[in-house]
Amino acid sequence: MKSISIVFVLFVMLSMVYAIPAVYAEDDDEEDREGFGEMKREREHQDEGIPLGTDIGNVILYGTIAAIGASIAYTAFKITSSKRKSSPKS
Amino acid sequence: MTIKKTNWKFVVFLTLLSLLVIPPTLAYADDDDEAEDIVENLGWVAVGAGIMANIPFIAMNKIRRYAIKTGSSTVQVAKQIRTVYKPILNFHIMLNSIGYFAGMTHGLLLSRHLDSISLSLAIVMSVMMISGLLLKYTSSRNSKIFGKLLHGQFGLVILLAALVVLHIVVGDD
Repeated sequence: MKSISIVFVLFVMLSMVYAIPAVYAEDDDEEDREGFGEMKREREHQDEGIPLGTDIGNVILYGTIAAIGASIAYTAFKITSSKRKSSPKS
Repeated sequence: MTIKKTNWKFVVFLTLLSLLVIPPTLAYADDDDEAEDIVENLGWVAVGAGIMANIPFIAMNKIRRYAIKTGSSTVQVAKQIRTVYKPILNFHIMLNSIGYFAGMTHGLLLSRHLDSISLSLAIVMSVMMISGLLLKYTSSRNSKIFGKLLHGQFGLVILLAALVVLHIVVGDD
């Protein structure tokens, strides 16, 4: 019971860590829309890097996720195959 | 034992509290050029810590394995390396933790410029960190083997290095 409550508190605190900056950033975006200079600066920032949702961006992101999934699957396969080898045949 | 447990909880609480306080106060970091420089430097801290933590550790492991493989004359070298293994492992864990949290803070504070490379980098870093924690803190044999195999995957290390280089190149443009 105690461990469950600790996990719950940790979860709430961690979600707050992620949620609070996002809320602040949202406020900031609204303020940025005042004035031409700020809009221009915002557009300049959008040109940086490879944005999410573009073709190359999707390839990089999904490629990374696929690579991680493949390595986890490979690790699990290695463990199960070595277990099968070590267990006596019936 | 009880004092140790309380200390551990206190450290976790303080870490979470500081995490709660720092991101909101620096959420406006993008607005100020000087603050943005500081946040960018956090990324360089992460890169530096990663290089310092991993290159000596990987080199040491490779030398030790090679020494054991080659035979009787080099076994002495492997034995000597074994004596310094624990401090170097602690150094590796400490610097990697610093690098991870510096990198994540850098990413959170500059989340407005989030792109696919940064997100991929954050995912790979988290996977490596979780597998490292699994390796260090679990007592179950299966999860230990799983953590060891996943943490030492050469493909993931190459992917991480490639994403770091891409992130630096794209960020500099």
